[in-house]
Amino acid sequence: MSFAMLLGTTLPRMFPLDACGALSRALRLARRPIRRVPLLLALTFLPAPAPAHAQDIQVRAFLSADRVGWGGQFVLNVEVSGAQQADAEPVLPEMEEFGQFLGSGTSTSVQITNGRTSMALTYQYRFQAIKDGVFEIGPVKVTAGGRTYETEPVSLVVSDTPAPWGGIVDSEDDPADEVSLDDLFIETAVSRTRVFENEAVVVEYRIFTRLTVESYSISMLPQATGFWTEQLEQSDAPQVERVVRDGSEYLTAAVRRVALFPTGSGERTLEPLGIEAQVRVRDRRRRGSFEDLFGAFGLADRRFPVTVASRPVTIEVLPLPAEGRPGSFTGHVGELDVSTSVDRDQVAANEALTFRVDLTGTGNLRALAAPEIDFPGEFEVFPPETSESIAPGGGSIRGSRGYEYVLIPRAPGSVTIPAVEVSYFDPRSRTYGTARAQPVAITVTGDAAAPGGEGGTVPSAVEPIREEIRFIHIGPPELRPAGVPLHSTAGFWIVLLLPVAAVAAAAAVRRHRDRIEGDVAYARVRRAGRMARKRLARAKGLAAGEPRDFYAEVAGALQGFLADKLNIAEAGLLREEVERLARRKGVSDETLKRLFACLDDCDLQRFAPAGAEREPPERVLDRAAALMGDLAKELSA
Amino acid sequence: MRHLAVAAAALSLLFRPIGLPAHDATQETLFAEGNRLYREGDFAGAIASYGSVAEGGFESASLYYNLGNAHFRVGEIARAVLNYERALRLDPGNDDIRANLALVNQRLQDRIEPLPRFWLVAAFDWWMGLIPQGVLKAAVAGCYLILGGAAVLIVLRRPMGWRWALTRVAFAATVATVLLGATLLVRETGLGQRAEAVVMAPEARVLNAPSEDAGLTLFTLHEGTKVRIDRRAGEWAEVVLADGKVGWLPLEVLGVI
Repeated sequence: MSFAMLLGTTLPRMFPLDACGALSRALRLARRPIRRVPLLLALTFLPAPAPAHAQDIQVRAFLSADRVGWGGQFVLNVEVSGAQQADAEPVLPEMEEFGQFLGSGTSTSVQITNGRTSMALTYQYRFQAIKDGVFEIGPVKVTAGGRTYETEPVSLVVSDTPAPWGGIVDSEDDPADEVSLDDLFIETAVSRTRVFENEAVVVEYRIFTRLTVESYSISMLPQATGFWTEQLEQSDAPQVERVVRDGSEYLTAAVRRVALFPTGSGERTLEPLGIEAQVRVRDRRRRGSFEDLFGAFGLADRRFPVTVASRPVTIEVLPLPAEGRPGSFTGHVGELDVSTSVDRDQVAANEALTFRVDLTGTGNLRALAAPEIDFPGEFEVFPPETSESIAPGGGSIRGSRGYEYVLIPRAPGSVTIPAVEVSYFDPRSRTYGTARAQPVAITVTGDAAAPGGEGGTVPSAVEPIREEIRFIHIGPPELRPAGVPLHSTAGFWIVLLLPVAAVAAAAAVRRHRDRIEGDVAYARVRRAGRMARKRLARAKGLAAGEPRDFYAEVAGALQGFLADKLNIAEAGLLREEVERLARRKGVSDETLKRLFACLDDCDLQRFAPAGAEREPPERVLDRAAALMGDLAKELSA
Repeated sequence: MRHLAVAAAALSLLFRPIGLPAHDATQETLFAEGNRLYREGDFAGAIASYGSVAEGGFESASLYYNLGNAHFRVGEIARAVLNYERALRLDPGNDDIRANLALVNQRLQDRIEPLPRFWLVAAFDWWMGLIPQGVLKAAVAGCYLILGGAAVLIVLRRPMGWRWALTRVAFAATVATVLLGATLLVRETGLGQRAEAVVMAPEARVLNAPSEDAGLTLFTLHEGTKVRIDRRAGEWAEVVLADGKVGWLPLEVLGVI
């Protein structure tokens, strides 16, 4: 005899799902525990639970259903029996490929059989199936009572084909199984499936339902990998429409609308969008009069969550043609027009001017690069401020993007901002196009002097970026032999001795001058040659004239020379006296004889009658000069 | 300054050694080649080029300075210090050399706080490094020649009436010649200059005795640190650091400046 008492508690562990956007804010889902187990226990009957034995621990993994439709929900249960709690959360195998995690919870049950208490702890993980096929969920690792257990793998079939009812395990308890995919589904509407790079694809996800959906939230947001996403308008309250499909009436609403711009060419897949909807159905199974009574007021209706997901969509992205691509093309696909304007066409130097470029057209305007403008050098240009207004139009995105530049002209004159040019690829005609604005002429008045105050450059300290060694010396190296001292150079001695020599020479010169000034005899001796040479030169000038004067001059020169050398008066020159003095000073007899002969000859010629034969004056001069040389030599010897 | 440089260049031509041939064009070419390689970033090539000039028995402040730069560029810090120090010996006042040496010293591993110096010694060193070598030579020669010229005019008593002025010029020139000449003499002969060296090994243990066996390690020095050599014993040198620490190092780990 045994009776079972079931203690059911649910510990909801709700994880915030990635229900994002205004939708989820508007339709906040009142989450519900996974499975409501009625509390049937009268606590007074419960004996004190006996401690579980570690060796009794058993671990089991099972699915709520081994077959699930696309987007449907499946629950992976991990039951740990014989333990009140596990040491850690069970470690699940990789399931991202086919299951999107929705949430988890735990439940504990206590069973008393013949006085023995057995406890079971069940972890429940809810997933949404997002891939067709047969999958094996690998072993789940559970650590309990100090040991690690592994469950048997379980298999899951995800398919849209309706399952035979018998194949569904535990189906009576799961009201979600009563909802077929025809009752609630999501459809993906794509504006086109063959597009060019960066061409807009408008994608709309719509929910279709025949059931009463109280609320819904996005459980899985598709990752638009390889696309630039532009979310389109999404009102807080979705527009609900009534449509007829295959003879049934559906309610439909747009869940999400985006424009996608492929960033590269090739095949791209739009991942599915998952929805968790709160569905209310009239209970069909337990139909009694009592429930009918409540059912009339909707009180007997059952509410449960249903998950659905959209099908992935493949989009083929074509590369942009290479031929005919203009130089100013920066990748914009769609039509484009450009216009420019200035706030005034006359401005004083150093005053700000606003230059505006407006680009209007279709396509990915938000990603549009600023056009390259070749501003004249007279302008100081500040980075532009951008503004945009973008709205969906037809199957594309239409809008405008503006760039506002602040320009400050620094010099007066008339300046022209060249035409702004933008290029685009028109996917309809499959050709490239270029739009061009008019050039803008601006007259700058005033003078260029001194950018007053705020416009001027602010001096700042020169900050070194790094400290580095200085550059090498490049000039002549001025090499010199290593270890050679200065005093072994020629210049040293030249510089050292030059002044010494100069001073010595100066001293000699001064001594000579002093003697000339103080010593008559010395002066006469030093002067004799010079005086005699002067008189001989004068005699030479007289040679052509009167012979008497000539001979007198030659004789005078000789006598003067002798008188100076011997330091005696020229007037009283006596032959004997001369002979005595000259001999004493070392003049030879032969020279004296020649001297007297020469003087005699001169006297003779002087007083000889005119016309007498004379010795030629040149010879006389030569004789006199030779005599003087010999005399000077013998006198100084 | 330009004129001074020209005068210095002219004088350096004059100041060639008597016995030795003047440096020929190949040395200058090698130097220029080294400069070219340095500019192109081939620092190892520049080192080789400058090195061959030095091996040819020639030296100059510019040569050592450039060599130091090239060594620094390839990361041979000790060699850079050694060459900068050598350049500084030839041209103590050069700004570039001082700046680069200071920069390299910042990157050395050893931080040595130098002892405070007697102000007179510092003033003497300042004076010694004040005038570039070429300018100093030119100045000494110029003053001496002015003195000679004044003496000649005084002896000749010409021009008349200038005797007093000439005497003053001669006196001033004498003072300048003696002062500058003494400076030049000290610099040229290295009078009073201690032998100095740079640690070339990456790490050198300074011992308390000139012997590997008996010596105990006092402290360790690292490459690039400058030391003063007080005395030598065989293959050992007693070194004194700037902060006064004394010890013995084998000469092989030192590069004498």
